[in-house]
This record gives sequence, C-alpha cells and structure tokens, in this order.
Amino acid sequence: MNDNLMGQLTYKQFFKAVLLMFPAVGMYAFTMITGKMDKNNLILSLFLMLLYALIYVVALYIVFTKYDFEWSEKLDNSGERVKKTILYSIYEIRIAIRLAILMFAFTNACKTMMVNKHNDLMIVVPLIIVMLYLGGKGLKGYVCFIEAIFWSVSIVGIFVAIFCFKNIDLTQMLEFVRFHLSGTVTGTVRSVLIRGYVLLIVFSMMEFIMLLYIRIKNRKRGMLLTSVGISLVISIIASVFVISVLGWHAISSGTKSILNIVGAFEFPGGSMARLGILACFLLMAYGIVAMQIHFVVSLDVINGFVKDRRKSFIWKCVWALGLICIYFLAKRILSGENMYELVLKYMAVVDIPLSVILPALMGKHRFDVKKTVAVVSAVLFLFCMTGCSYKSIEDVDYATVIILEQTSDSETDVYDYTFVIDTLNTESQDSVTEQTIWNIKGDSFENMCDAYDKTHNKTLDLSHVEYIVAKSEDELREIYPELLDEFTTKYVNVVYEENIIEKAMGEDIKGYLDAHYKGKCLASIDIYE
Amino acid sequence: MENKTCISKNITENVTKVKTIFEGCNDLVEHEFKLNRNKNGEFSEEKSIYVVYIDGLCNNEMVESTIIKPVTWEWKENVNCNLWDAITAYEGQSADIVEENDFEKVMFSVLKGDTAIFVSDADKALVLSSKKLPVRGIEESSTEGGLRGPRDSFNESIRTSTALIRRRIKDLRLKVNQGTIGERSRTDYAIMYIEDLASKELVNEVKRRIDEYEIDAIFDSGMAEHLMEKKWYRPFPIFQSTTRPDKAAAAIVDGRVVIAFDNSPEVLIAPATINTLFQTSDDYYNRWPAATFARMIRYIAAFIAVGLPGFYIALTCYHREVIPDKLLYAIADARSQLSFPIVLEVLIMELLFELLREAGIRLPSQMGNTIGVVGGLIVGQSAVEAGIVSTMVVIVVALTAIASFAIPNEVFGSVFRLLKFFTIIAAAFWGLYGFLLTMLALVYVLASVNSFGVPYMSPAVTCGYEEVEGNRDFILREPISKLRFRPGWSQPEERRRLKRK
Repeated sequence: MNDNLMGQLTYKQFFKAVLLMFPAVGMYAFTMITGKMDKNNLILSLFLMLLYALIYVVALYIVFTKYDFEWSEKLDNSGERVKKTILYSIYEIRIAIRLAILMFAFTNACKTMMVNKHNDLMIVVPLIIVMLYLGGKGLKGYVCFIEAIFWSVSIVGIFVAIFCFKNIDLTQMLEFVRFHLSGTVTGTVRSVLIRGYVLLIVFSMMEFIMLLYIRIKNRKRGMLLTSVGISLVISIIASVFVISVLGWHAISSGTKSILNIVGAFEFPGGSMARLGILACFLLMAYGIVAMQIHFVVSLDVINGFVKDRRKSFIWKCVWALGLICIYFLAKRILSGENMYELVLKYMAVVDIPLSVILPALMGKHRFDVKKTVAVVSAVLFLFCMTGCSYKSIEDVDYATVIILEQTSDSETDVYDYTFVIDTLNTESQDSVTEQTIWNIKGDSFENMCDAYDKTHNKTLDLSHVEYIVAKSEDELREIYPELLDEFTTKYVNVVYEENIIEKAMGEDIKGYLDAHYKGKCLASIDIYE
Repeated sequence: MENKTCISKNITENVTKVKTIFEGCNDLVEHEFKLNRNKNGEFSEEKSIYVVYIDGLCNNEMVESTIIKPVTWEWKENVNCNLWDAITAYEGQSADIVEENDFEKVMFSVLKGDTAIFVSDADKALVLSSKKLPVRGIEESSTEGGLRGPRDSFNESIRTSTALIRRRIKDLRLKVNQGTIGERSRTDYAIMYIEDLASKELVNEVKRRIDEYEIDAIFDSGMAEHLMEKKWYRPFPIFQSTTRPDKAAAAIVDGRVVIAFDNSPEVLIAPATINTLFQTSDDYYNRWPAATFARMIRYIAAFIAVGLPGFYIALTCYHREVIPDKLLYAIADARSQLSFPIVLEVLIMELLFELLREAGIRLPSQMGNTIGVVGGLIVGQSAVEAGIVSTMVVIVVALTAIASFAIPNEVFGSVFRLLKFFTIIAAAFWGLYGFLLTMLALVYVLASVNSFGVPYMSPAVTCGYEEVEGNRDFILREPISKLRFRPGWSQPEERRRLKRK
C-alpha cells in the first residue's frame, strides 16, 4: 500500500470521509453560531449561504484541479525559495489559527462533558501529542481512520437521535424560520448577510474535502456534488433535530448549547438514559476527524519543504509549540461575548480567501507523508501528569436532591440551599446509605458546594442529583444558568413545590419525589416560554 | 566454513579436509573402506570409499544397508571397474542419493543429517538422504484448541509441516520453495503457496523479505517474523502464526502464503488482518449463526481486554453520573475500607495477574493448576480480605483476563494486554477524555497498518484495496454457500471459489 493516495481513493471512501468531516462542523455552525445571529430570515439567509458556498467551492475546484502545484518541488532560484518560504509560512500559520479555533470549541465541549476540573493545558497537550503522532500516518492513515470509525459513529449517532426523540418539539422550529425586521431594512440585510457567512464556517472543511477529491480514481464532478450535498442535508436535519429538542430560544439566548442534548436522553419508553458516553464518543470522533486533517496537511507541508528528517522534526515541534501559543491567544480573544462574530469575520475576510489564494500561488500539493513525528515530550507529559486530580469514589457524599428557596430576610439575592445527601453507612446491615440533610445560605451555587467541601471530611458530588426543587419558576430563574452549567450532561428533574421537607414528613425525600414527580428532564424545560 | 571448494580426486585429501573441519566433533561418524581386493583378500590397488555422517541425525540402519553392506560384502571381489559408476548405478536404483561436486554443500548436508560418500578418483561425492532427526510426534495443539475439526498440529520438523499441509491440499499447483536462513543455524524454511491463487507480488515480497538479512541463527518462526517486519516499533503482528495444519491449508487455499520453519511448530501466514486474527478454524466447521456469535464475542472480548480497566477507572473516578445508584453505593461500600486509590488498586491487580500468567507459563503443566488455585482463589481472596483491593476490581481484572484469552491469536492478544496499561493511565489522568482519546488513537494506528499491502482492518478499511464481498466473512460469517469469492489478496482471475456444478 503506497503512502501516496493520488488516484487511489475510491468514491466510497471519499463519501464516508465527507460525511464525517462535514456534518459536525455544520451542525455546530447552524445551532451555535446561527443561534447567536438571531435577527434572521432562514430562507433568505440560507439562499445567501448557498450562494457564498457555491462561489467558494467553484474557486477551490479551479485551484485544485487546474493548477499544478507541489509541496516538495525543487527550487534553484534563491528568490523563488524565499517567496515559497514566506507562502508556506503563511499557510502553516493559517492552518494553526484555524486549528486553534477548532481546538477552542473542542476543548470547551470536552470540559463541559468530560473533564470539567482540568485546565486547558492538560486537555490540549495530550491532544496535540497524540495528533502529531497520528499525523505522521499521512492522508492515507486519515482516510483509513475515517473508514474504520464510520459505521460505529453512524450507529452511535442513530442511538443518540433515538434517545432524544421523545423530546422533539417541532414547533420550536417556527421561531427559527420566522422573519424578523431589525428596525430598518439595512439592519435586516446586514443581519442576513452576517448569518449568511455562517455557511462559510461549514464550508471551511471544503478545502480539505477538495484535497481528497482530487485523489479519487476516475473522479467526476457529480461525486463532489452528491457527497457535499448529502452531508449538508444531514447537517441541516441534525441541526433541526437539535433545535427542536433544546428549543430555539434557549439556544439563541445561550442558556443551552448543543451539548445539552445529553440532558435530553430518554429511552423511547420514557425512562432515563445514562448514556452520555455515546455523545462523548461522538464529540471525540468528530473532533479528531475535524482537527486531524489540519495536522496531516500541516506536517505534510513541513515534510515537503524540509527534506532533512531531523530538521523536519524540529520544525514540527516548533509548529506544535506555536499552535499551543496560538490556542491560548485565541482563547483570550474568543472568550468575549462577540466570539462568534470574530470567528465569522476572520473566516470570511482572511481564512477563506487565503485557502484559495495560497494553493494557487504555492504550487503542486503532493501528499507524500512519511512516518515523521516522534511523540512525547517527556517534560510536557510529566507536567500533565502532575495536574491529575480526581476524587475517589468512596470519599464523596452524593447529593440526590437540591432544594432552593429565596430568603426574604436579606437585601441581597440570597438563597437558602438544602442538599439531601446520601452518605455511606458501613455499619448498618439494612442499607448501604443513609439520608442526611444539609442546609446553608448563600448567593452562588458554586460557593455553596465549596462551603460543603470545606466543612466536611468528604466532598460533595452532584453526579447523582435527580431533583432540583424550587418554590416557583421565578425563584429558579436567577440561578438557572449556573445550574445548567453544572447539569449539562446529567439528567435532572425540576420540581416546583413548597415545603417539601415537611411534606415528606421526615421520610426519604427522594422517595417522596420519586413517588410524585418523574419524567421531566431539564433539557425540555424552557423558562422563557 | 570455507568458501566454495571443489572435491579432490585424491580421496586422502578429502578425508584430511573432513577431519580438519570436524576436528573436535566427537559425534561425527566416519568409515573408510578399502576396496578392490583380490581373491586372496589382498588389496590389489589403493581404492577406497569414505563414508561420513553425524550420529543422532542420521538413520544408521539405512546407511548400513545402503552403503556399508554392499561396499564391504557384495563388491569385495569387484575388480577393475570404475568404482564411481558402479556405486551410482547400484545406489541410484534404490536410495535417495544425489551427486554433489561442491565440498561445502556436502558438508552442510552432513550437518543436516545426510551421509556423504567420497570415492577414490572421483571429483564428486554422493549425498545420501538419511536424515532421522529427533522429533516429537504429532500431537494435539495446546495453544489453539477447538471443539470441532482435526486435532493434529505441526511439530518441530519442517518436513512434517509441509507433509501435513500437502496431505490436505492435493494440488499440483501447490508450490513449496525451500531455502535456508541463518549463517550458523542453517535453518530450513519452506514458502508454500498455490501458484495460481497467491499473487505474485505477495510471493516475491515474502521471498525478498526473508532474504533481506543475514543473521547468525533462527531458532523459531517468531524470530524470523520479527526480522521480516518492515517497522520494528509496531506492536501488532503482520503475520498470522498457527500450529494447526487445517488453518494453514485454508490460508493457502485463500491465496495466502505460508512459511514453515524447521525447529518451529508454528508456521507463519502472510498477509494477516485483524479479521483473520480473530478467526478460528472451527468458525468454518460450526453452523454459521454460532460462528457469527462467537466472532462477535471475540470482538467484544478484544474491547474488554484493552479497555475495561480504563473504562472502570474513568467511570468511578470522573463520571459517576453514569453508574446506577445501587451499583455506585456498592462500589463505594466495597472501597470504604481500602487504603489505595482506584488506579493503584487496578494496577496492583493487573500486575498480579500478569505475574500469575508468567509463572503459569514457566511452571510444569502439572503445577499450572496449583498456580491457578493459589493465585486466583487464595491470593485474590486474601487481597480482598486484607483490604488491598476491592471485589469490584477483582471482577474487572478477572473479566479482562478472560477476555484477553478469548482472542484466538496469542501474539495479538498479548498486544492488547499491553495496551490496556495505556488506557488505564490515560483514564486515570483524563477520565473518559483520556480513555476515548487512547481508544480512537488505537483505532487510527490499526487503520493505518498494512500487512503486505493489505489494510490491517480490511474489510472495514479498504484504502486503495478492493475486496469482493469481503463483509460476508467478517464479523458476520455467512453460510459457506454464500462465501463465493476469495479475499482480495488472491489473484483477481481466480477470485471465485464456489460455483454450482
């Protein structure tokens, strides 16, 4: 099996690759970014999106099929060499910036769903090390990986859809397609234009799809059209699905993100599902597919330009370190409220044009990636190791019910938090756990949890909270975003009721709630409705 | 050993040379017989035959009856004829005997168990195939058992290996290309394939790789396997090894190449894919639903073998929301008296298991059961009672161990056992994120490996490689009547293996 894929890729492989490279980015753009550009007209902006996309794809097609360009061409002329060096450097920096943006989204998602106590460095460093190593497998390795995981990703995707199916509310889509006037006609046009750019994010993967396309054996234009078209349709359907489950208002106001879909997991019969791992798998698989291609291309450019293996390795390390720096820079810039607009502007003004211009100026792309990247920087690895911190399973008290009540005796917004906690009872033969109640006043949910950890031998764990009880919706509203952050990936029932402790009459509070309330998941409740 | 030398017509020179070469080799047996005696029993002319062989490697009776008796009795009065012609005419009728004029080759033949016969006035020698090497009998395979199918297995003799395969494939197109590897061990090997089924590129590549290195000695097919691998750092085997002749024969009929080595009871099969490594012979002897189910179990076993301890750590340390309440409290209760963190607990148990496994291999088979009882039951139970490990971890490690043995290929299974430690460490530091990252990286690496041009994950991965109906014999093993085509590595014009008469 040659390392070079030129003329060897089959349409089936290409189709699978497009299907994994496209919809995840598409769904993210449609639900997350479009949600922020709320002044909208779906039909008009969709038309505009497709127009942008068409122009972009045609430009890419011309560049990739008509220009003879090669990474590793020999340059005799020193002036030519300087020019190429500058172009390659710009290309590498551009790839690194785009990768940093993708990693920013990916890391945030990972923190929300899996490693919320780890800092960014601890997540990013192992990811970069692994991807650098895998990047050495070349474009062929990348395509093989996609083939290998394609069916498992598809099956898991279907499972996720089935689990969320019960919570679909198609009326949520009405808001998405409704026409809004933003004061003036120019304001509306501007909004529509901005939203039109969203598809450019989706189509940012198009550059790499084109790289694969020119390697198809007996390629035809219809192949590109069919693959991209189907992927686009899938990402739109998936976005509609997500919006219908989570609610358009919640998405656009930022109270719910695509990751809250895990909270909507429910078996068709109505019983709770604890299969958030499936969504984690999808996140990791799609994340690696979207990011790995950047590594492959980037390393290939270095291999093509720097022939000496040792120097090539050093350049790769430099590139990886640069990537980490760009990531933290991007994080600082993108942490603001207008991050999506910034990303859109950067993509539309810098990245997308460069994706066409640079290959046209640079020469032939030939992916002759060999085994290149040595893996682990021991120092960085050890550094990550030192960041390891987890709580042992028995050193934790598990809260099962949280009762919130606004206190009337204070001028500030102070809440009365009551935690119903299951603690281990190793002495009793009848039951492994016993119920304890802990009450505290405070202004923030996070502070209250910290207070518990400070005053008790064991730390408070919220992984098994099943009920949040509040007197009314208004009381819950204030603390709602904080709770959502905590319970994004968990299945929680929200109950509005007063004096729950008295009503339980000293008995098991969770048992009382189980008997009276079941089946309301957090993801399906929208306080703005 | 000297370079190529000719055999002298003067037999004394040859005798001296042999004596010099084998000086200090007390297992060498040599006889020199004076011939051309007259009727009075006196030597009329100095003519002699010099017979040499190594004791223990050679069939002494055969040498006695084929050479020594005729020379000393039947020709005792034979005079004035050409001795060389007489011997070749006589011996050529019955014995497996060849003429050889290269002294070095004659000496190597002697080392292999043949008998060399030097004759006066002849610049050639006769090599009598008289090998009788000490070998085991044909026994049942101890590493690749099965409920149905033949029980025989290869032994250390290359001739037995080739014969057991030939017994199953009576096809004129079955080729056996022999050679030797190892400058000092001179280990015989045989490359076996069916001429019109195995692709020429594959056969040539196997031959090229086996001739690529000069090495002192090869004592087992495992050494040759590692030598023939392109990338030394890859943990996954790119050859399939088996001790079962039926498996080797089936591979040959599928268009693969089998390499048998002398002194090794395991033959190598190329190419190998994950699919072939997960298959067993009885998959094809049992009914297809049972075979399919067994294969599914093996794939799940592979996942458990590499991932279960890591997954357990990820869930219990980071993602407790996934664990049902009652199970969670049971785990917490079991751990409440322990002093080690979960990761250390799992590592202790895993290392303990590896220790027991290693000890079990080295111990005589009669004591193997004792180790199982002492290790598994007594030490395990005591470790739980002493508060070193919890019952749940014992269950996890035991399940992992059982699963790793459900993988049919031991070499492949041992890689999974090793990789398990990566998932444990990744899960310990990064929870589910580390676990999934490691698992996906493993899939990535597996997907990019290829064995002689065939993707390792074929037919799931087809990159530049076309299979016809490859999925019919993958996780789902369809009925034999549906398996109409050979795998993609066979010659395209002979791809069809089943058609109705």
